[in-house]
Amino acid sequence: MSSSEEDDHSAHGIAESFDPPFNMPVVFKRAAADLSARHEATTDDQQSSDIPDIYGPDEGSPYPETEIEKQIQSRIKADILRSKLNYSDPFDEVHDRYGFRRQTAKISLDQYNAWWKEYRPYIQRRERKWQNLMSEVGLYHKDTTNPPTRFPPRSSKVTRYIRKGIPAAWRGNAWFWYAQGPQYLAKHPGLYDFLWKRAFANHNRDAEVIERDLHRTFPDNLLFANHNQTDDESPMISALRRVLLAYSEYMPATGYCQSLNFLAGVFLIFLDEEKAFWMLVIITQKYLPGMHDENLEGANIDQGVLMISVKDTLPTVWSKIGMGFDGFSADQVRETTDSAGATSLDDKELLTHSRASTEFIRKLPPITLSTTSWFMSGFIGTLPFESVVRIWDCFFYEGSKVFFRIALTILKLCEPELNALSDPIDVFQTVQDVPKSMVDPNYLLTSCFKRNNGFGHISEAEVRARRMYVSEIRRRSSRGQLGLNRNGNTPSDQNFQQWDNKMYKFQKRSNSPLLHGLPLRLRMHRLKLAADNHT
Amino acid sequence: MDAKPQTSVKLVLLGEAAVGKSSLVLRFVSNEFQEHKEPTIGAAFLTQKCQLPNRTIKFEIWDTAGQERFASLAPMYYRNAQAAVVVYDVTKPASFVKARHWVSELHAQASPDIVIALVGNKVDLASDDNGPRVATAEGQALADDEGLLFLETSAKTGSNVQEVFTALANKLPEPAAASAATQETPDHIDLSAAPNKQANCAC
Ligand SMILES: Nc1nc2c(ncn2[C@@H]2O[C@H](COP(=O)(O)OP(=O)(O)OP(=O)(O)O)[C@@H](O)[C@H]2O)c(=O)[nH]1
Ligand SMILES: [Mg+2]
Repeated sequence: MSSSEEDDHSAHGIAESFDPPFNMPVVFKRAAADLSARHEATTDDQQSSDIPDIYGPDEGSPYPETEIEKQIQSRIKADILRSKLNYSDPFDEVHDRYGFRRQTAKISLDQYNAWWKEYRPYIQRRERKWQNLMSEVGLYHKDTTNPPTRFPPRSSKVTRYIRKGIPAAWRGNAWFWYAQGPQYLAKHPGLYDFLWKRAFANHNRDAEVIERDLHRTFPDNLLFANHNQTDDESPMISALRRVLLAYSEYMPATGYCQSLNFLAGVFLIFLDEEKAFWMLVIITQKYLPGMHDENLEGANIDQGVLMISVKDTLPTVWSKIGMGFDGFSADQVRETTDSAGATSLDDKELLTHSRASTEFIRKLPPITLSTTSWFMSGFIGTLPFESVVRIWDCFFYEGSKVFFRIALTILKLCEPELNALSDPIDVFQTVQDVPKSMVDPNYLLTSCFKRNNGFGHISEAEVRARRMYVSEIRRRSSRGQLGLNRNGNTPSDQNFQQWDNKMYKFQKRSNSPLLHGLPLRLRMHRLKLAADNHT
Repeated sequence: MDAKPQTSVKLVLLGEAAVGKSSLVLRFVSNEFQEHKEPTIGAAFLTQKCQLPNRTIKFEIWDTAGQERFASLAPMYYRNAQAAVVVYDVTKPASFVKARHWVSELHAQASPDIVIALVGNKVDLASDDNGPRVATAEGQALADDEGLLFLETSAKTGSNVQEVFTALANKLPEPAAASAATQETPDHIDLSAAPNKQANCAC
């Protein structure tokens, strides 16, 4: 990946062969003009300025065409840079096949190399298996060099194949396919380009906080690191900027949240930026709803779900992590456990439980300070990178339950070490550090999906039900604590209202049934459905 | 050395995103610096010992995420903390406003005995006159008003970083247990009366 090669490519005019749909679609122009007319009519109406305008005034913006042109050039360069990854061979002696350093704080170069020696033949074998599978269903031909863009429908065989790892060169497309990315893209052609241009033109309100995190995203990765000699910004960083800005434009109520930089960064390693953008939208709306919102309530809810599951299936681990230095005493744990009848908690029991037994949901145990980031960043930074992408293979195919299962597996694998500890401080340290040294994804995934392993077989439906349950408990207790706004809504209601407003506009434009006038709860429900079927 | 009594102290780092909280900890714990340090998501947990003449302080450090929306998690860290480091970036006046806010929140919500250090970081950037800078006097004034320790640091050069933690360690009240019969210690060094005694963290 030398610099001269890069220059060669741009000099050879690869630019011409690259034909992005950069024209703003007529429909957006019309919407923008329409809205800017309305905007002028109501400039001093305070009410309307509260509502984020996703198709606000845009026409005639002073943003110079030359700047746009620069962005387009850097997009081409980012694509070229990505195309240099063949996803099979490590970059060099010290970097892996994705451009990351092989050695990390918890894994030595020797450990990495020993693992890679075993793992490499494995992935080659899996690649051949996948090629056969895909040829059988006519989705792959040996002579094509482009990775397939369509993948086989769900079946137990495909599930098995996915759990054993998607070939890295196909991975991005497979994620995109199973997450229903093509539908999103087809429904909103050109929207991505419109959004990032608009962000530049109107100075997006998250621009500064996004800027602050760009160079702090995978600084050790060759794709993201600044140019060796000139210290110029890597085109991947520019791509990341556009993706995050576009996201903030698209989701003004959520805006930019730290950790989205990591998620977007991984998407950019495997997909072009428009698809990366849609994956970011999909993961935050469909897979991890509310997790990155203004109040992170979605993250707290998932931590509640995780804690219930730990309590439920890993009682020994729970006895270690369920308590901590923070006023959550072992007594409370005991009480909770007793009243729950040993350690099993089904939903009905939970619903009829005393306040004490749900205390750990309202006031999450301190261990969640660590485990929150597992979910928010999809295990990036928690597990070695190969494990992260292997988990994501399953996640986009099977759903959010995969994150819960993996989290439970990690805790299960920590169990022997945890058992030897009594000081909560050592417990934190172990839960934080042990996953970083789990070098072999196969071990982790086999432990996770092993039949009858007695823990963590949480289904997608259970995840949904538990999320609703936890959310309800937290809602009830948060009234008064979180502070209600004027309308007596919690901040999360407010979020939904903003989302609601935005979606309303969105749906109005696309002639979907209007949600206007429905009671808030019903609208929230509809909107959730709409977001799920948003494809 | 090991005969000295050891006290564990929960310490929390607070401050706006990218002011250098993680970098200060990295410097303190490993004496390293990264030009581009990844943002902290949720929190990171680290420990480091600090040797004082007559006791050892083991800092149990919660390094928190700086972005506003993570602030809702903060009570979980500081509720039982005995020490806090509130960090701002001397080249970012907005981060000083945020630091003020953290100080009043700590005074309102945290343990009344908590020992707080106010830290203006990235002084290495402030020297060459680029843009606005939070004046040393401004930081000092806030610290004086609120009864905080105050230091200006650079995680990059390492300047004053150990000193922050040593000063905190020195200011921490000696637990009653330390003078209990179980321990044989020369107990007459009054640390709170001599906070500037040459005691350094061993790192
Ligand atoms: N020049 C200079 N840069 C620093 C200093 N301290 C930190 N930085 C840089 O500032 C950036 C942010 O530092 P972090 O330590 O990650 O900041 P943080 O407060 O932990 O940020 P969050 O985790 O996002 O809340 C990094 O790129 C650091 O390298 C310093 O003293 N001088
Ligand atoms: Mg940090």
